[in-house]
Amino acid sequence: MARAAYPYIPVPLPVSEAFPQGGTAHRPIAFADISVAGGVPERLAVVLDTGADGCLFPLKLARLLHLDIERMPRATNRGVGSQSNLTYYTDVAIDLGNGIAFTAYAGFTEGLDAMGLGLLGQAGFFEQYNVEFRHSERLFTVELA
Amino acid sequence: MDTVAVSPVAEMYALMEGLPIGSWTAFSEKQHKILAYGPDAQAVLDEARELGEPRPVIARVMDPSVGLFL
Repeated sequence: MARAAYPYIPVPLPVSEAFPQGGTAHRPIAFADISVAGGVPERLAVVLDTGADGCLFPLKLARLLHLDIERMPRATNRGVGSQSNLTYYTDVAIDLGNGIAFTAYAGFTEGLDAMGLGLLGQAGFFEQYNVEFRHSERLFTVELA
Repeated sequence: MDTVAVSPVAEMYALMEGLPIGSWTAFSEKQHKILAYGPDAQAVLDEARELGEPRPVIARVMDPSVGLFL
């Protein structure tokens, strides 16, 4: 059975009024190969985001995958502090390595272009995999449900 | 269970420090370096592939002064 562990990624946070000592954010991030039928995969970092309704990627990635967004069904999404974002959907293959590979009906939105990250959310990912966040050990595990 | 002991993700983000915020970058896990960066993601990937990396990781340099709440 496919099961893998990935380390949390430590990201230093700068000094600010709210955090005068700075700090470190620990993010559950892994690399993933993203592809569409018949296409060449592109590889980028993805965040495991339990608060995301589904899997989302930067709109720029849709262009790198040579998707024609004008022909894709669309919906509107919203995140913290963001205006609503038009999101274009299609089926994609997502491969995290270590035997963790699946397909999902995923969206592409300009709202993620500034971060250049993908989000693995409830529909498509958490509905297929059991994920254990072991923050104290700075790792998370992914296992087929 | 397979465990990734040394994270290439962490290595990539460490190497991105100091690059222009908003740049797209292409990282090589095998060569352990950022092969290209710039404003055009496709051009960055093309340059990385020309430099011998068939599977570059595309990423964007984020503003380190901004927290991430998704």
